[in-house]
Amino acid sequence: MPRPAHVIALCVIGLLMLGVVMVSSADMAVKTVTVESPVAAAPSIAAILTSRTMVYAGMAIAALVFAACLPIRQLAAFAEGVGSGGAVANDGNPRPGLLGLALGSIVIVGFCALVYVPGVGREVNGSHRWLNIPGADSLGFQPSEIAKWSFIAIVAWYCTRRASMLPRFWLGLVPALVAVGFVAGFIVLEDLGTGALIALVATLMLIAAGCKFWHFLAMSPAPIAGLVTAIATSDYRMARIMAFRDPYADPEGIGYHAIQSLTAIANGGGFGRGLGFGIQKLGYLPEDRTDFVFAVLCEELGIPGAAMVVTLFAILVWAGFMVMRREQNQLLRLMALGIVSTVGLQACINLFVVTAMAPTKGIALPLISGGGTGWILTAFSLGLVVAIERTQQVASFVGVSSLPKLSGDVMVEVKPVTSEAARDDVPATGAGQQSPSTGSPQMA
Amino acid sequence: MTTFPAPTLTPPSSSQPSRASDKNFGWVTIAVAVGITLMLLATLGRVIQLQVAPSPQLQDEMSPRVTSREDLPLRGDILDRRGRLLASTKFSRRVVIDPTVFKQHETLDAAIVALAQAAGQPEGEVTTRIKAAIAENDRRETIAKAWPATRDAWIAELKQKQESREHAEAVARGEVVPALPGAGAAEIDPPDSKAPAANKPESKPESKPAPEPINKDNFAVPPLGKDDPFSMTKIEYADEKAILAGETPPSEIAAELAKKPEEVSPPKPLRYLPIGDVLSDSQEESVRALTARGKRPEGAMKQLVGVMLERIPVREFVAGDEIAGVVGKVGFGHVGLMGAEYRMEKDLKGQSGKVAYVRDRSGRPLWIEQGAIVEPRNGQNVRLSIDLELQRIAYEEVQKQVETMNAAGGRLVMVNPQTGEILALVDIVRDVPGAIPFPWSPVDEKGKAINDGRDLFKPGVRYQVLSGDERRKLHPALARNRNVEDVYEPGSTFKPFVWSVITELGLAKMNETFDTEGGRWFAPDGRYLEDVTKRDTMLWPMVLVNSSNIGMVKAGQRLSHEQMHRLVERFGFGSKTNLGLPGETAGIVTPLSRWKGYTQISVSYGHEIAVTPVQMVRAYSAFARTGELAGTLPTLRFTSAETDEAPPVTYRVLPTGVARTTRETLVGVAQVIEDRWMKKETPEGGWRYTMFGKSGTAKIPLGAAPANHRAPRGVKGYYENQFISSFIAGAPVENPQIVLIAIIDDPGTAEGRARAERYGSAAAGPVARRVLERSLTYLGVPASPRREKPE
Repeated sequence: MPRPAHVIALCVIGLLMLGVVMVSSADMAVKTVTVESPVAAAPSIAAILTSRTMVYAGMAIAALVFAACLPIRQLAAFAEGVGSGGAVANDGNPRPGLLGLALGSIVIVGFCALVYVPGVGREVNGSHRWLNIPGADSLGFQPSEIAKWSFIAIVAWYCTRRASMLPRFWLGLVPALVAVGFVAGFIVLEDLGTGALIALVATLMLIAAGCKFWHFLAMSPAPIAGLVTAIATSDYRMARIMAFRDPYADPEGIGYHAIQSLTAIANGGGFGRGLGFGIQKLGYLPEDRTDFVFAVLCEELGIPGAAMVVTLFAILVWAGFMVMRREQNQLLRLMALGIVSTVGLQACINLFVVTAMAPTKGIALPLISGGGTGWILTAFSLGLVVAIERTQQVASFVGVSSLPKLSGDVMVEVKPVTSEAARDDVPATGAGQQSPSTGSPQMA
Repeated sequence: MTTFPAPTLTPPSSSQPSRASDKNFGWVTIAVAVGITLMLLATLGRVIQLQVAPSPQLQDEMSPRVTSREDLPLRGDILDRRGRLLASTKFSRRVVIDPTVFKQHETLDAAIVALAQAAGQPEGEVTTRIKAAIAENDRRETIAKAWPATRDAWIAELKQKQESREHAEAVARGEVVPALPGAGAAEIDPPDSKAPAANKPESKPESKPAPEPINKDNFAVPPLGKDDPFSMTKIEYADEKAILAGETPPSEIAAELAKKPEEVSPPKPLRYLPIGDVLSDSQEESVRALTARGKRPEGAMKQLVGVMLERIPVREFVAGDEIAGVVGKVGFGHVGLMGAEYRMEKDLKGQSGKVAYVRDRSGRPLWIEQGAIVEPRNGQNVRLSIDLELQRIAYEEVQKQVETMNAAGGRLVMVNPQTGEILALVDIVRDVPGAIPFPWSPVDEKGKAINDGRDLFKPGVRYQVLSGDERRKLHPALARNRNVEDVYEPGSTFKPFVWSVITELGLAKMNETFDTEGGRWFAPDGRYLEDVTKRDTMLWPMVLVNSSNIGMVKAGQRLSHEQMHRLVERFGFGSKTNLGLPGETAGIVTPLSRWKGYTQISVSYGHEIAVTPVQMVRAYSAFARTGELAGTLPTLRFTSAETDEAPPVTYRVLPTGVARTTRETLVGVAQVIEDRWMKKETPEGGWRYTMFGKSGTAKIPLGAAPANHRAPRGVKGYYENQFISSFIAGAPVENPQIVLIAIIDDPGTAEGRARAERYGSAAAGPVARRVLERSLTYLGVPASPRREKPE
């Protein structure tokens, strides 16, 4: 039985590679055949391997590995101590976590506000979502991406830090909701999809951490009203809703995107037109290499391709599920929940948009839609889940984080107690119960 | 529920979750995992639905990505029966410009001149054409910009265009008398005379010269109806004509006008303007040089844009005038209009190929889809039954005789009676100098004659007897094929059929003597009959040889009406030969219900019946067929019969013996001609081939009066003193290889020429004799054995 961490890592790498292939395909320009050069040069393997997309994918895998190798438990232990002045929790601090929550939220919002600063922010398609990276004009990233991941950490930290207060409405939930509303509300201004995703994931985390569900139900009119306001006050959001209801009402206008996306998928005709043979990417389908890359994938790879993507995401989510179920550390398992549900829900929203089951909004398909920062941050976050799993068994059996540093790879140093038997989740009751397969050379 | 954590009991690290949060955590994680999985599955289901069964709306969206281009096939060649080329197709190119692109040239005039020079077209004409198109496009753009305010004006303009075109067509058909210039304008132009198109030349039908009223033969078929290939292609013809002229095609106008007013679309610019004729190779090269990309020397013309070279098939007519009407012609779209081109369309046309290619959003072609190339299948070559040499012989002889006789026209149909193959089909029309249109008497609206017409008709004057042929004016190959389309009264040439049936039924014996009343007799219905050869008595065979009207009428009385009517139908009159040539008519046979004693007498000597020349040769072949086939009718065919194909038999009309007897009897008729009219040109030692045949002369019927006219008083439905003279013959009598009918339309009077010289035996007989002699010699048929002259 493969370990969930391995599964997650493999899924990430698989999705990334699929992303590289599909983004390269969507990027493919068709050259005019002339008398002088009667055969158009096909994009070479070398060109794809040295493309920026490939470099991003490499960086994303590096981020995955780096995050997986982090001493996650020490970091968690350290984080838990932050704001309490030491290992003793809550003593003399009647409002644990509030300051951190507030500070974290303000930092995130402040960071996101940079998009409005002239020279630093960049306007794309009428939205302020991008930040320039000095010295590299062609690069750039969306601060909301960073906010999305870092806010998970803040919420998880708050929930852990203030675990005892969470079931209480005013003391536990309301501060968290204020923070969520503040951050998500700010991001919604420019990016409804990401803002809603952040709010949704934070909500899930808060409930999982012990907030009462009926508290949320009681509070739910507020975010719903916010969402409706956000849509109603924006002409283009309204238009998108209308387009969702009937894209053919204005096929050349607001309905164009949805129709082109559906056309791309329908063009696949079951088994796809073949890799590289998509038609819709040739100027018909906007955003073909980013948000709508799944449509291109369906056109070229057909139902098998779509099934592959869906399966990889499903496996990823269920592997993450196993990791968080087994995790005893509240902070880490909330983190894992936040990360896994962010990836999964974002994928679902994107797929719904692309298949016109939801109104069009700008949200990428994690690990597949082209984009440097998106890939790197997602891979890094999932790397943290891998790291959690990597350090899990030892912690769960020994229950102490102060054992000599153990990694999954250094089994030789470990006593038989913590070796194979433990890894296979067989309850180890004592030193005498060895696995026959492992101990023999030493025992003899 | 609220659990206050007891600080003392909690482990040093707060990371151990409480029980409450554990419970929440459990169901939230399961909800997340299951929820996401369900949503992913929903997506997959949606993808499957879209790919397997896309909605019709989506399918509409999917198809336009692929453009398919027609690849024209090469039309088959038309060959004569010996494989001589008559018509063939090659591909050429012509220049087509897109005015919307072409007008972008900085120096438009220079660009036009350069293009005109390269294409070898007159500069002035090209300039006018292109500038007019550009101006029209600008005008349309203005209209489109001000849409929908300009909608009513545009609809009015379209309507006016349609009406004026319809009116012009009606005028051309002779159905409508063109309006006088002053009065007509008010009638045709819409009230809004400010409409820009009112100034366009094509909207002025009244400027066209009025065609002369058309004389229609009484027996001539009315103008071809719906199955007239010419009118069938007329829609496309009109479209093509409009496109070539740089105008909106009429069918498009009609489609727009059929819409509701609010759905009429604003005018689109003209984007297809053909310039001039097909190009020669060198012209094509110079046009290519102008439109090619790449650097040019300083001062040279810049690359021309919006110029395309369109590949079009060009039909080349190889053979001469004598066969034009037989081969026919292809019209726009390379569709056969008349003659063999029409008859063999299915074989000749081939099948278009197709290349389907994917294009990107800006319309650039990208790649060809797999399996999307369909090679065009070229048309098959068609071998006609016509022999070009026989056609030439026939044409030459008919032409000569038409000139000699100062006739209005001549026709000849030659068949091989054994196989039914048509060997030659000649149709000549000549403008008779001095002939004037028939003086139809105009009537007022109530049908009363404006003048009584008594003094209009003059017996001595020669009138134009052939009905007008609009198509012949367009192109000789489009002419009416009078051998299948026009009927005439056969006159005496019809007697052999009646004679043979009476003989078959035993109603007259070979040795029976008929009282021919000295050549002058009043028939039972009171009509006066006169024989050319006046005798007191004649033997039954001599009745036919001398072509005695009196004898034939008397013998005809022995047949019942049913028998006479059946014999007419048995020989194939009143039914088409199904030769497949366009516009064939079945002729006119009085139905049995209206068959009176009067009819019985008329039909006995070949009147009150209208036949086509092809029907005559088919019926006559019954006498000419040999062996068991004697007495049967062949199926006429226009394509060459394969040697292994059994001679098609339709049905027996006579016993073999009677057929042979009739043939032998007709030899006597032929000898009368030879002796009386062709003594001088009889070759040394006599004619090589013994001919059998029968002459015929009939007055030409007036035909229906044109609208608002009637025949002048004192005219009895015929052109007095004007005839159709015909001779039907076959040879050699012992094994006939050819049956032909020669017809001279309205042989003219000449100084010192007797009336009898214009009769069938004198006018048409020599043509038949000469053509038979020359044709059989050409075919290498052995000469007939010498035979004793009867008497």
